[in-house]
Amino acid sequence: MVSLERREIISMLALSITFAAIPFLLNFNNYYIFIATTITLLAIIVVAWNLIGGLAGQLDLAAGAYLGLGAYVAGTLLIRFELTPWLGMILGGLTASSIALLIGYPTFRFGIREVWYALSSAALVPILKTLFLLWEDVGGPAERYLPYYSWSFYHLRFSTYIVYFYILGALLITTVLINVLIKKAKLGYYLIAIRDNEEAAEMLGINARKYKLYALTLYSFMVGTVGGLYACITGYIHPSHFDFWLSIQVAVLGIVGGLGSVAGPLIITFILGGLAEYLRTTLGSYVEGLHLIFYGAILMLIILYKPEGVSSWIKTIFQKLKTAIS
Amino acid sequence: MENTILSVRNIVKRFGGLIALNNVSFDAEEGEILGIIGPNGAGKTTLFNVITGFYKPDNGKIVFRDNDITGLPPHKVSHLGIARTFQVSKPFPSLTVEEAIKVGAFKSANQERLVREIVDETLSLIGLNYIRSRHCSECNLVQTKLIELGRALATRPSLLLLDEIAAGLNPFEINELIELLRKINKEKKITICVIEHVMKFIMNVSDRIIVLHHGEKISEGRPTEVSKDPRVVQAYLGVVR
Repeated sequence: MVSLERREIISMLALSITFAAIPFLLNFNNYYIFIATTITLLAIIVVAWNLIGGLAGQLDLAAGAYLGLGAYVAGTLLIRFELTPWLGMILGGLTASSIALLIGYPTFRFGIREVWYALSSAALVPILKTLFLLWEDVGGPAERYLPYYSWSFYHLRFSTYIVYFYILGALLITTVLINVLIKKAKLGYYLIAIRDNEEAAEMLGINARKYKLYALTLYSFMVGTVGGLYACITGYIHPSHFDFWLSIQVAVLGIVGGLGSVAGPLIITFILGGLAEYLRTTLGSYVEGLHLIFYGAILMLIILYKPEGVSSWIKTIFQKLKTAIS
Repeated sequence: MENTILSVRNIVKRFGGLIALNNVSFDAEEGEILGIIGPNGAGKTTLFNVITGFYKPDNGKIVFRDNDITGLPPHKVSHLGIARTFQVSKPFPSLTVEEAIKVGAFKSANQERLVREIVDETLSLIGLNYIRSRHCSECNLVQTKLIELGRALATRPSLLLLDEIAAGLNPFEINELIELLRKINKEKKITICVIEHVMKFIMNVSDRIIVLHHGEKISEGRPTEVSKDPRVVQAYLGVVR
């Protein structure tokens, strides 16, 4: 069994306290908390993506598909049967991972990897989007609204974002914890070995296909679960929840944060997520799209100077702090 | 034979019109070091790839310790007790030396303590304890080859296939490697099949040698016998007029 080191327990506690404190720091401003909520949601997906993209090295671009599936499952069950989204989220996660397995099995069976895996996983987003657009019974082109409640834990509907923020915060910490534990366990080593050299890994007794499927199932379950919550936050379900831009964003943040690292992608998501919103509200009002140019430029600078991701920066900063203290 | 650990029978492997292996049969005896030589393109590495499941043979049968392993995928072959190294190194650049060995050790132990024991034991056997926390991406050729050997050993195999492990090593390093392989063979009771071009190495280390040429086995025997076999001389040097 793997256990956490003291350093990691302290980091986890620090992360929890920071999250608990964020609404206070934001002065309970509903708009700021909304931004924090969406960034936290993105961060969960980025950290979950680390399993398949970072550790297993498969450039997965289907995050938008799994999120949409989770949203539709949890949303539809709430609208039609008044099933609590707490259960709906889990069912959404299970649906997402079933679909992922269904596609992942033949994909890995026939040795589709690298850029080809990226393309085939990316295709899932528009396919599902179109499917739900045409499937009038649950989807269709019009939004379907979730029942309105200003404060109901059963329906997971609130008129303030703060509750969503705390639920997502708890989910994020869980996701980070799972990631850290996996990285230290046999599964983590096996996934890195597969990413570094699949043939060598196979020869050491590793069933690469099986372990890649483990990573894919876990990741899609996490994204699907968050998708259920996403439906509750937005208050409706619509085919636009199958968002390909999300897939891209998740992969970009995962790569820029540092493949295989947990802290890197987490930190970069909050910095760039906050920055993107800041640029949008300040620059976006002068010239439309100006903020995206700045955002893109910042990404390019990071990739140019730290192609291995910001996680290496974090490492050097920590090492310098250590030597400064001792 | 009673002590046969690996029995290869009538293996045929074609790549399109090219016949890489043509009816190759041989046995490896428990506890021996078997050398496999032959000119470039003779089919030596293909033979290893067929045995370890990277290629499926078009014909023939491979039996390892009473298990028919013909066409089994590499990870299953590994679980039965065969390990190998690769002609072109296949390192794990993002892992440290210690971690790379650990990946192999997970197969043979499921407790953290036992895994660590195997890693420590393997590191001291291959003599890489002093760089255990260095990244594999920062290791030189000799170290990379030793890590691959260590990784394979950590899976606790009974048969070890080494594909040109001495290539690119200097004479001093080759002598050390011979010592190491003898130690692995005698102390760990691991049968070794070794493909090699470095003659000094193969003649020194092998108990028996088989010679492949154009995908066929042309000779088999003790190192001194094989080196005098006219067919072998002809394969390497051409026809003597």
